[in-house]
Amino acid sequence: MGQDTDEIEKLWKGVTMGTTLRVDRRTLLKLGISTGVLASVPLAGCAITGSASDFMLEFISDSEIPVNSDRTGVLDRESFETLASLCDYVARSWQLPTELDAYFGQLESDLQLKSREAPAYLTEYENAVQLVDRMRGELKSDDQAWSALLFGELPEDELAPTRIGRARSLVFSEIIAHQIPLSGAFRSFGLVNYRGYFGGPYASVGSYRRGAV
Amino acid sequence: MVRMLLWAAIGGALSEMASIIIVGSGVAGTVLARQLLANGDHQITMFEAGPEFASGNRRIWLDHLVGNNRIYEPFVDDPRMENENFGLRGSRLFMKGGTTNHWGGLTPRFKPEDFELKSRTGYGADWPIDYDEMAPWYARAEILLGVTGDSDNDDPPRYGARYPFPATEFTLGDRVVIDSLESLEISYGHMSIARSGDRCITTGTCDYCPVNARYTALFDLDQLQIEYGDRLTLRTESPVTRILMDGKRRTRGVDFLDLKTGAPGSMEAEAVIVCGGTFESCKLLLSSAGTDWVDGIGNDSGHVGRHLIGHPVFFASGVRPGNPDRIANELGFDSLISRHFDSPEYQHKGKMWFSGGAGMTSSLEELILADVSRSEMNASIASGLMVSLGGEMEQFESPENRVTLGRGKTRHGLPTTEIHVGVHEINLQARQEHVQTFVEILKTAGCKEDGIETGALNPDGAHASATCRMSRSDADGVVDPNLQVHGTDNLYICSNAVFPSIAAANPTLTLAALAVRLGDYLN
Repeated sequence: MGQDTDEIEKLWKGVTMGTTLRVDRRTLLKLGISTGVLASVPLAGCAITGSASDFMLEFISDSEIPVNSDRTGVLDRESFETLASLCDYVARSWQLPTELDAYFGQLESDLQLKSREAPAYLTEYENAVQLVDRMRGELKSDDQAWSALLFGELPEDELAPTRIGRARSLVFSEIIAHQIPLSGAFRSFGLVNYRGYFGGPYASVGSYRRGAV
Repeated sequence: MVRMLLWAAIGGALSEMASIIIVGSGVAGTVLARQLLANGDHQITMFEAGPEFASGNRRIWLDHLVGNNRIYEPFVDDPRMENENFGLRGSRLFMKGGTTNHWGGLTPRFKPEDFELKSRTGYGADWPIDYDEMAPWYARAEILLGVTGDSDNDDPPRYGARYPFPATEFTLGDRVVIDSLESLEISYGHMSIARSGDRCITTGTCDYCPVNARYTALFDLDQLQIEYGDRLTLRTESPVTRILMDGKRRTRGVDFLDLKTGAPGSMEAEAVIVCGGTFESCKLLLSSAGTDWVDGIGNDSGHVGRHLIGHPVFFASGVRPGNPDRIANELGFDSLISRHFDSPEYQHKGKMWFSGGAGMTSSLEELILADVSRSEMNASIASGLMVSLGGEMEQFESPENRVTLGRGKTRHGLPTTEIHVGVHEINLQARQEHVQTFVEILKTAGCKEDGIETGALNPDGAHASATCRMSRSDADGVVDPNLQVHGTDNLYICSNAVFPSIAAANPTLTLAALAVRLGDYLN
């Protein structure tokens, strides 16, 4: 983290020209940085300019979003594993339980359900997998790719209707919201029950934490 | 049995006929249908303006869990129905099962004094029936709705009736609020809630229960259709547009619209029971005006659509420094209630009940998606505890409160709704006092005063009542104590619309009790 910050500060010094920031966003992303790191230096919020946009603009282009909620089907195994690797990344990065084999059965079942029933997510998943593959090809590691996909800073007002905007809100966010309760990851924070987890019969001791009265 | 044989003999020729027509598939119509089917030989047709919906469906639940999407958005009122002082949009649902699809399941009984509002305060109207008459019907409704509760709490009196399921034990977060209540000598108890104790698995996604533990008329109707087959016909996307009368006293059936085909239709019946909620029930009477009822059925004394009341709600929250126990909202529904201010002493200015709890300020997934590190998440969870209170209070009617037919049609082909609402000064004063009570509770719980936020909302369609109020004579209301429209022989209203007053408590259990009672009366 410290090394990354140093790199950013060097960049900061090198790209400040009056009030105009010329930052190579692609370089920043290759460092595997996130918005949290960006917020720690006076770079946050600057405009994306120059060649930085070449790569990311492809991700945020709204010229052709290849999704169609009417197309149902089966999510292939390779695509599922690509998406499931997000859970591994989240588990490693936030020190959640990393033994996820049992959970992955439930995740696959639910992603398949959303793929085969309309409004279908099959093309949303395919779009997300393409983005993951592209980002992996550009960056040094899977973790850097996931960090960039989840947190790489992009103009908010242009994000929603774009390929990466859709992937973030409809695929990546949903998978994390699935993982926290259904993998039991919330327990690592000391909780006993959590929204979405089947805590058990309300009358059973252990289904949630009680307050003695 | 005689009736059944008659239906069997003539059924083919009279396919557009039922022995009883029920208008509306919400809790009133469904509980009533269960009583009629279980104890009589009726052939029931139920009309619902909205569409079918699936109960306990994994895909719907999954979307609700991970997408936090508004699954009921397609079933709310259209934007033209919104009203500044009495909201409709989002408060009621047009779909199979009606508003029970998104209700919280809270099922407190009204208290004895609630049936005597006029006598005790001079406001509104008394009920023509009292608490003791209602008590056995409450007990039966609690069983039908699968209510969990504290059977030893005798306020209001239970006369020995046991809840079908035990109360939910207080959560760790409740304890924070309870400590404060005890310091302030404010009484509290276990929330009674329609959440079948043999099915609830505390998953917290109660707006759409994956195992149908929370009572919904949707799931209850699914069961009725299985249990009673051809004796119950549910016609969804079929709004009833008019009640048909033979002369002044007898209804002969209804006109309806088939939204799937766009074709109008008619159906005849021995009796019609309108269970369309407070707005649609009175509107149906008004839009059925004819030569014998020139101002609308049951409206010779002008009460149809008048006296509209609901529940003003208010809330407060604050952050208490420190959360060493890492308290989170682990249950997902209310388990604590205080009815301390829902008592005779407060009736003259507007009774209220409230609930409360404590939990984290952000969800874990929100923190992760905000790129907050693990150590920062731990610090965030331990740094503070969000303590929240929410309550609702009795509204006194203003003379101006009224529902009338608007110009134009809704997407269901029904007249639009005009709402005229005045503001009762007594209620405004009391609301301020109640909010200040919340602030004191939060301060006592350790919340910093300058960080306490309060808010209040006007009543809305969720608990709206009294537009066809119950009365002993037609000079004072629209239906008699048996819910029969004054001046008619076979037309009934079963809805919050018949409540003469709203009390502080949520109305659904009282409505279900009236539906059980009407079912027994008709059988």
